[in-house]
Amino acid sequence: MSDKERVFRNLGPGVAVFTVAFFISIYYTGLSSSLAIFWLFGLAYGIVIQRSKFCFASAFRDLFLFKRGELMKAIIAGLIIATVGFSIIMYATVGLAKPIDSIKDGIPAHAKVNPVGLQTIMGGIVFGFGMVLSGGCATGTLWRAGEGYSVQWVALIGFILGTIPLAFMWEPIYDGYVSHLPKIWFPEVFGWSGAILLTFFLLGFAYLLVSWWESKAEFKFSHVIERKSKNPKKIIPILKEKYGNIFYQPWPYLVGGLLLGTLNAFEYVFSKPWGVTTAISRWGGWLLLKTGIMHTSNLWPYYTQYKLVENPSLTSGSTLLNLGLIFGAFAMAILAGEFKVRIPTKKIRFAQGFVGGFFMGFGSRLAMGCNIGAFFTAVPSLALAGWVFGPGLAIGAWLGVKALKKLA
Amino acid sequence: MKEKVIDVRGEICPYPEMKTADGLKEAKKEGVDELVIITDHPPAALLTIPQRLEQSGYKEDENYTVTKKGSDWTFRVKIGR
Repeated sequence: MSDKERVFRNLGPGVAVFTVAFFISIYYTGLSSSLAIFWLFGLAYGIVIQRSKFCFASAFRDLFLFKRGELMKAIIAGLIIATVGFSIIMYATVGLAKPIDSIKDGIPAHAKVNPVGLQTIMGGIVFGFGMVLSGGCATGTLWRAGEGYSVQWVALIGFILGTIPLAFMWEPIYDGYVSHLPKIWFPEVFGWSGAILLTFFLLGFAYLLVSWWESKAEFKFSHVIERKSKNPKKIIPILKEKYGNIFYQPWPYLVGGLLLGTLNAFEYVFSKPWGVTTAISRWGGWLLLKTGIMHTSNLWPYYTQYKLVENPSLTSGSTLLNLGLIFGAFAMAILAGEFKVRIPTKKIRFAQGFVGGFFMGFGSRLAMGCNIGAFFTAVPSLALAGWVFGPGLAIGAWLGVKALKKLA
Repeated sequence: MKEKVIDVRGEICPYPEMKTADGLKEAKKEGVDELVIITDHPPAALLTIPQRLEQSGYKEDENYTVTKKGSDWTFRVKIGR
């Protein structure tokens, strides 16, 4: 009997792993309910990403490698839904008490509005190159680490280490350059309606650009592989088929994009929007303390500026979010029969993972965010920086594709 | 019957897809009857490899089969001439 028919065979282990996740959330509820909620958000991100195979590295890379844009279009869809959600939240935060289009006194506290400058585009390029080289972006590295990819374990180590040199040299960069740069937030420049319309226009333009680019491919792709239904008539076979569609077949990219955009907006309602790399640099700071390279009495300015060593690593919300993502992907991989410790035969892949991870760590801290914080959260925050970082990712991915082909 | 095996276990995107595309071209040139592709990378097994095959004119069950054992997928493609 093939695996296809025995759809429930991983149900036992899957339920067991999810039960563990449940007890972890109970444990954290005891410490603080917000920690437990971050953990649950992490699980949700992990589940959605694992099921929809939502890979930002592929989205940028495949534009250049295969002229394929299906995944990029799904990201755009996710950005559209997140823009709607974010706009409502930000408007409620700063706009309600004042006449529309007269926001002067600042940006909502947790909106991701970074200063725009050379560090934004350079960070994007370095990050984009790194994610293509290692085979996964910030979320991709976490998700694959949970699925058992040994290269991504190495990439995660590289990622953490990559944040450290940037932290070391951050003070002069910040004081001498970044702190003088403007934080450009569209509602301040164009008013609310202008800002939202501009973001939709840019997203629509990006969608058209991707569609035009796809039409030039020699090889046409259609994402949805026809799922042959046997049109069962009885309840058990129907249940089996539906179960298989959800837990074995990948979800359409579009579903993944829309769910991630929605989750991001919900996370913003709860506390702050989605980010990944702040926690990773926190782990870097923790490593520096544990190895004695840095002392609590003499913290590097970077870690005090961003308050990255105040909490022990395991009791910070952003850390639990990332750990939840890894665990959610792990649990879903168990349920889908996709977990396996994978060790590549070509050992160069480990070097690719480490170097790519290191580049991502460095680039994400330089640009003050990764594919999530500086892009998937920055664009719906109506920040110009997201629109500078995104093209940076594309340039980096294009360079990464050149390297990839050499390393095939 | 001439068989050609592409074992891309341990490789992640885009390598399984690139090797499949190259393998299909080479198999035709070399007069291979059956191309066997083994992967443990779910996005490749569930998305990119079947897409490549379908778009190259191979139909599931008719020209190729896919079986899953543990976390490894095996594609067997009958190469037409």
